[in-house]
Amino acid sequence: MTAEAKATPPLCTRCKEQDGVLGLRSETVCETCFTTFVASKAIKRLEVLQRETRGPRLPSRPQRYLLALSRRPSSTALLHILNENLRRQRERNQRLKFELVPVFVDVDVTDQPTASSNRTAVNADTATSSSSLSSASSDPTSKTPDAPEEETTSPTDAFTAHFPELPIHKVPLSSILSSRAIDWTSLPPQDPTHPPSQRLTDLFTNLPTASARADVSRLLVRHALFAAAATHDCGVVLLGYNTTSLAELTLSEAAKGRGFGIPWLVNDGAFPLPRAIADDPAPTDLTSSSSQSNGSGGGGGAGMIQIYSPLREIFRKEILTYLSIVSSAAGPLAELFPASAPSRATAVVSHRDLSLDDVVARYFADVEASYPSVVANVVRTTGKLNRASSGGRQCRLCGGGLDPLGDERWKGEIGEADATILSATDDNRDERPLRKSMLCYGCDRSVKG
Amino acid sequence: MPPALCGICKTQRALIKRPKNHQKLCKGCFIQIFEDEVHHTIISSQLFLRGEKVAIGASGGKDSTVLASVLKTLNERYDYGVDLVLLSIDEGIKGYRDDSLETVKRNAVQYDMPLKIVGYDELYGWTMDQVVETIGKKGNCTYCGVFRRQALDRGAKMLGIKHVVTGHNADDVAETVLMNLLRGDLPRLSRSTSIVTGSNASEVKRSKPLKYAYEKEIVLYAHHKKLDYFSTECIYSPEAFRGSARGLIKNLERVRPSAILDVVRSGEDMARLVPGVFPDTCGCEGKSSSTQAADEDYSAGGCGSSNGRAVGGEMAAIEKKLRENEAAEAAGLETEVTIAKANNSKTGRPKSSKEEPSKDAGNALPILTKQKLGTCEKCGYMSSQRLCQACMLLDGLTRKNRPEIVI
Repeated sequence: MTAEAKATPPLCTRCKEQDGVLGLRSETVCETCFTTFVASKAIKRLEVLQRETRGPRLPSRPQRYLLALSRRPSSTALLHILNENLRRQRERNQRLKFELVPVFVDVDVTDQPTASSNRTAVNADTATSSSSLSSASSDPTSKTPDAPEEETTSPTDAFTAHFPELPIHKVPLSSILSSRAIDWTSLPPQDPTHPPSQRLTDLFTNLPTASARADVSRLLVRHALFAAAATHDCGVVLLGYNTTSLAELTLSEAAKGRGFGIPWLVNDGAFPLPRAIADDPAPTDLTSSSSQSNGSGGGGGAGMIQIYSPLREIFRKEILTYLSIVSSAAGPLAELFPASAPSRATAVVSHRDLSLDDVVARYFADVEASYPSVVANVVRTTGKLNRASSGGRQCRLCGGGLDPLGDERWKGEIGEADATILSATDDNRDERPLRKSMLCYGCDRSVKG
Repeated sequence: MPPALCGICKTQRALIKRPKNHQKLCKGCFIQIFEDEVHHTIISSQLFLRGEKVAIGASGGKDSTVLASVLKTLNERYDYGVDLVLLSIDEGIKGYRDDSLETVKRNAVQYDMPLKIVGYDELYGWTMDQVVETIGKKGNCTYCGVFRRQALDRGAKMLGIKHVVTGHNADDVAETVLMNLLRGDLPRLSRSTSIVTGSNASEVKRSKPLKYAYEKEIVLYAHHKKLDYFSTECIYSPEAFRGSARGLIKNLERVRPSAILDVVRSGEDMARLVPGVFPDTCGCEGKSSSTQAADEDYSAGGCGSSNGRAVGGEMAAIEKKLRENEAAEAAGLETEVTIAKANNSKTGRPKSSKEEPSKDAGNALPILTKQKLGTCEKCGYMSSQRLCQACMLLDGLTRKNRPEIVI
C-alpha cells in the first residue's frame, strides 16, 4: 500500500479533481487551486477598497490604481493578479472596475557618467526598498539631468514583454528632490549645482548608517509614488506588501521608534497626501526648502490618498510559489527572477552593512518557516491599532501623524539632556538654529543614525 | 593617538564605551550618569512618596542587586525618605535558590536592609521542585512566573508594604513589547510599558525604576561597583530558542544601540493606540493615570536569563492556538465575511474618497480590551477571571497529582 500511496499524489482538497501537489496552509492543493487562492485573497482586498472608497453613486469611470512596482516578487505577483483580473473583466465584456497604472520608482539613478563611480553605494544600500533587479532595466536612458520627467519602459524591458498591455511608468527617485513636502533641512545637505542623481547619491552617502539609508530610501520612494499618483490622477496606491513583509514592517518600524506612526504605515486606508511645508497651517520658520520649487513633487492639496496592500493576507513563500507557477503570454513569470540571486535574508554581511530592516527580515524568515500564524497575527494585531489624532501635523519624512504629546513626555522621562542624541551625532548639524522638529521621533532617529 | 578622555569630565581616561550610545566615559562618570538617569526616572515618574516603605524584589541576580544598590545610594544622596527592604522569594529549587538566597542574605548585610524570604511552600503548598515532579520540565516557567508575581505581592502584604520595585530593565520591556506584538496581545501591549502597575484595585503597587536602563549597563555598573551578585541561570529554564524576541532585541541593539530604547518608545506610543485605552491627556501630570493593573505581563519573566528562553515553547503554543482559531474561522468563514460587510457598508457608504475619513478608519471591527478587574474567589487576589491564575494552576496541579496522592 505504501509504495502505491507514494506513487500517486493525493487529490487536491479543494477541487478534488487534480492531483494535490502543493502545500497550502493545512491543505494539499493543485496548482490551479493554489493560484486561485492567492488571486482571490488579493481581489477580496480590492473589493474592500472599492466598498470603502465608493461614493453613494456608482463612479462615472473606473477607479485608477497606481500599482507600486518594485520589480521584486511581491509587487510583480500583484501586477500579474490584477492584470489577469482585468483581462477576465474584458473577456466578459464587463464594465471595467479599475484601471491599472504601474509605476516603477528607479532608485538606481546614477546613469550620468559623472556619477557612475558612486552608484554602487546607492545600489547596495537601497536594495531593500526598490529595484533589486535593476539590471533588467539598465538600458541606457535618454533623460537629461534637469528634466526628471518619467518615461515608460522600453519595449526590450523584460516586464514589458510579460505585460505588453500595461505601460510601466518609470520614475527616477531623484525627481523627489524637488518635493516641497519633505523637510530637507533635516537630511544631509546637498549641493544644488549638482545634477539630481548626483545629489541623491550624495544624500545617501552622507546618511550615517545602513539603517538610515534603507529607511530614508524607502520613505523617499513612497513620496515618489504619491507624486506619481498625483501626476496620473490616481486616488489609490496599491503596494506589494505581503503578510510577511507587513509583519517585518511592523517590527522594524517599532525598532526604529516609529510606533506612533505604525497604523499609518502598515494598515490600509486613507493617508494624508504630503503637502508642501509652506502650506502648513501652523507657521514655521523654514525657508530653505522653498527655494527648490519645481512643483512636481508635492502632490499638492491637503487631500487624502488611499493606500492598500492587497496581498496582506498572503505569505511571502506563497507569493514565490505563485510566481513559480503562473505565466504570461511571454512565458513563465519565474523568468523574471533568476534563482541565482541570493536571498538577502541568508547572505552573510557585517553588522555595519546591516540595516534594522535586514535584522527583522532575517528574524521573520525563521518565524515564517516555523510559526506562520504568528506572522499573520502580527499583521492582524497591527490592523486593530487606532491612528491617533495628530492635530493635522504630519512628519516631513515618513508622512505619518506627528505625536502632539509623546515627544515632550519622552524627553521628560528620559531626561532632556539626551546624551543619546547629542553624542551620537558629532557632526556639524548641531550648529543649526533650534526649531520645532518637523520629523517624528523615528525619522529623527533614522536620519541621525 | 593619545588616550581618549572621558566625554563628560574630560580629565580622566575613558575606560567605558556606554552600550546605550557609545559615549566614551571614565568609570566615575559612568557610575554617576547611570545613577543620575535612574534618579531622573524616579523623579519624573514620581515613583516614591516620602515615608513610604518600599520592598525591592530581590533575586540575588544582577538586576535586583543593582536596583538595591542604586536605590540605597540615591535614597541617601537625594533624601527620598523611603524605607527600603529586600523581599525574596524562595521557589524551592534545590541548587538554584540556595546559592542565590545566600547572595541576597549577604546583600542585606552589605546594604544594611532588612530581608524577608517567602517560600512557595508556605504560600502555595508546592515548591517548584514538586511542581516539576508533577508536570515535567516543560512549561514550568509559567507556574514559576505566576507564583512569583503573587508571592511578591503577598510577601509585601505580610510586611505591611504597599510598593514593590522590581529589576525589570529596558531590554525586558523592549522584549515584552515585541512579544506582545508577536502574540497579538493588545491589552498587554497597552500596559506592558507602564512604569507603574497595580492601581487602586490592588493593594500593592509595582514599579520598575530600571525601565530605561540597558541590561549591558546594569552589568557594567555591577562590575565597576564590584557588586556581589549571583549569575547562575535557573536549572529549569528550557532550551534557548534562536528566534526569540530577546534574540531579536539583541540583534537590533547590535545594529543600532538606541534600538532598545526606540522599541520601548514605540511600545509606549502604541499603548496609546490600542482601542479602548484613553490617551494620557498629559504625561507630566497625574502619573497615576498611566498606572495599570498589574498582571501577567512578565509571566515568563522574572527569572533573569531564562526570560527569552521560555519563548520557544510559548511561540509554539501561540502558533498552535492561532492555527486552531484559523481553522475555526475557516469553518465559519461565511459568517465572518457578512459581519465584516455589514460593518463596512455602515461606515463606508457616506464616504467618498475625497472626504476626510473618520478617525477610526481601518478599524472595522471593534475589539474589547477592558477586562473587568475583580478578585479571585479562592484567595482574594485580584483577577479578571473567577479564579486567579495561581489558583487555576494550583487546581490543575492538584488534579494531576491526585492519583499519586491516592496511592
